[in-house]
Amino acid sequence: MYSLFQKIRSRPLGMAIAVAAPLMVVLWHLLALAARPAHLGKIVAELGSVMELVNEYLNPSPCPNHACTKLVFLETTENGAGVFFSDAPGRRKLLFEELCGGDDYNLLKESLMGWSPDDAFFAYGRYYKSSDWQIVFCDGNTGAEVAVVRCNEFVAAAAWLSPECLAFANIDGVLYIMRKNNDQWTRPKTFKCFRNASYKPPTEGIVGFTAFDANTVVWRQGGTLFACSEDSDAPVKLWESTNDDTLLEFSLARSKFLARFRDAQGEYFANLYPQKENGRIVGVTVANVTRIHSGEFHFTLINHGEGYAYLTDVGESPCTLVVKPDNSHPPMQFQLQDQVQNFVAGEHAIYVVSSLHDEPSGIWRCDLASGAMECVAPNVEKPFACVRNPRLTTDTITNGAGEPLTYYWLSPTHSAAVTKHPLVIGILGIGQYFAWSVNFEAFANCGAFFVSLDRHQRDSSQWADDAFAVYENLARRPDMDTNKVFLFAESAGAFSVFELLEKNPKLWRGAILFSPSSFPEPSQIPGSRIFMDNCGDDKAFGAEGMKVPMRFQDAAALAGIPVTLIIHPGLGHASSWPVAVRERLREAMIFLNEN
Amino acid sequence: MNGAETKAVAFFTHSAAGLLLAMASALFLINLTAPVHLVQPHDPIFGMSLRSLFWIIGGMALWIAFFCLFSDRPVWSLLWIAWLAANFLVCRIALYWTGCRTLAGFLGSYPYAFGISANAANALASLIFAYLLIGSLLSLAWRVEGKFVSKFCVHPAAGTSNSPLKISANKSHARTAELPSPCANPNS
Repeated sequence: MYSLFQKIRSRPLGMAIAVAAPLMVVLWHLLALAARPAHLGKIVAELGSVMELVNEYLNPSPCPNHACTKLVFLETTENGAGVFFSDAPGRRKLLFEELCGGDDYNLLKESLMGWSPDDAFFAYGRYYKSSDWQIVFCDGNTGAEVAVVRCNEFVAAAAWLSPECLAFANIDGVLYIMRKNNDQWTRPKTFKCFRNASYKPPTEGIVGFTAFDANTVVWRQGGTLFACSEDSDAPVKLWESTNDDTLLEFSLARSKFLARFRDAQGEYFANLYPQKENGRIVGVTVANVTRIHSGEFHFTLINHGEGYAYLTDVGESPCTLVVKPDNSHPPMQFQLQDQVQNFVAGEHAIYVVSSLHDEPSGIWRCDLASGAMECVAPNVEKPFACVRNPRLTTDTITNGAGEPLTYYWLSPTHSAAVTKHPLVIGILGIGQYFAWSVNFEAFANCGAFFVSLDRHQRDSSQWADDAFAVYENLARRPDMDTNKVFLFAESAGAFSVFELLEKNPKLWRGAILFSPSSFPEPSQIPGSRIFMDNCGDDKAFGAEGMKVPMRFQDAAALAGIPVTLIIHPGLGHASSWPVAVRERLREAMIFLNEN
Repeated sequence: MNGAETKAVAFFTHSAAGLLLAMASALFLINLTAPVHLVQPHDPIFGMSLRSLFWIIGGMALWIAFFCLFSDRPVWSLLWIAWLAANFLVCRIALYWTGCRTLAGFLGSYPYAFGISANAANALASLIFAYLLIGSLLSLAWRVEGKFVSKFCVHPAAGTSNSPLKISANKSHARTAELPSPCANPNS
């Protein structure tokens, strides 16, 4: 050992090379790090801390009280999902947080069960300490827990029949009722008809579960409108869809229905008037039919049934909320920057999860009397320090077939010193429409233009051609770097990206794919560069799991296509677990800025 | 071998050591700085993860580089370099035979770590190994030729080349003219 040391010491040139060569490599690496976008870490940290406000059609949130002064809502947290209580605009209190790590981050087990008719209480369902399903009753003024009742399963929908009676449904469509006796809430009891073993409820999910009166609940399953009382022998079919006339949705206010249908001529909405026998609802009659455009949806009665509101994606903005308070006032329109699927109507206000001014989606309150919009629960409590909000522009072009194509694009936020910027063309997954997204913001904050197409009324087979038409239009801009055009896709949008790569492999600098679910033959996309981010427990790949993208990576490598593949173990398809989001964003932005 | 050739071989051995050390450092750096959940493609010949292969190749390059820099046996250094470069050539031929025309698909980590494209990394790797292979083979050839000349040709300072006495003298000279270690200390 000593002689070896002596030998090394005796050769200064060798020592110099042994030290200099690795140092030069490290220096090269440091230079490459320095060439990455400035503030990349901060941008990723800020964007990766944005949580998701739950706004699902099947699990409506937020949930305002009847007076529209307080609010309960669901939002993801850094470690799972939380039930929040807000008693004033901008204020929030975490009532319960389910810690669910990364594995089942997006599998929400909490559900809001509404407010009692007198607003004294509200309830929510939760999965407590990963063992017990519970229904929690809280004080309507403070949000404090006042009672906890065990139930055996996830609460899919709920409706208060009276301040002392709460009905709810499980995921299988079985109805339960629980009552308050002597200040104690009883254990849930199934409705009479569900105790009959021979009765098989429909398999479709329950939607629009609402109290019709003090004894009866109504809901929709598929195209059928049902009503049922606790002691009914079977649910009553109030309205059943036919092949020519399908019930799409309904709303109920003070025993008055408003429903949307589709028939051979298109879509229409109409009032449904209840037919009663012996004081019980047994059917409905349809009246006041009004034809509507396709793309107008979520018709909801407001103002005690005097008016209605709905959403429309027809027009320049991604989504518009239309409110008609009553027959005597003209409709009010509110342009929403995010595509929304749902809103919740209270007695005096409408609540919608969206954004109006390039900020992350928050809960907005639209006052029915004044028409004023106010953000009552912003998504981020502190404004961003490093992330800048890019300017959103909407534009419409005409494609080769003469069809109008609307697209939304974000300008780069840090553009002072550079005259040309990369372009990222985004193709979202099935059912995804344009909304504020950390992915889009990250592209714009890393110096690229980001473009997303409006895909309403567009078939998935047209997405690739539409994207190419938009590219051809934007490529003429002098500030667009046509040597750096990237394709971006989420989930099923990857199919269209591969189609574009096959048609013009030399045109695109690279493809960034989040949770792609299908892959082409690598020989068909020669010369591509691909970044892929997949979740380890993605059901889209079936039993083979992550072997599918890994096999594609191996085949692509043999074909000379470098595929940067990130796999987050244990996560489900397109998981939004913040830890994974941050890693995904960081690596994708580095890929975007590589040579 | 004359002095110029000796210097050329010494230069080659040193430069090869430098390149191998740089290559080993690059491979180690790629493995160490890669994102936590980055999945590397599998090596099509051995079927192992590219990450493992990088550790192995980097380890071998490191060993050969140190051998080149600090060994007293320059022939062995040249042989090791030639062996490594020949292995690379054989792998490239095998890959080409299976339809893989470029290594760019396997060098996707280079852009991440060093900001150069995978195609540039592929070209760089090919250049380096071509240099190592050609350089080591030429050096070995010079070495063999030098021995051959020493053994059978006339030494300028001696008489006729076919004198057994002179051959013996040449042998003796050849021993003393054995390629000096590139970094040999003249005083040692």
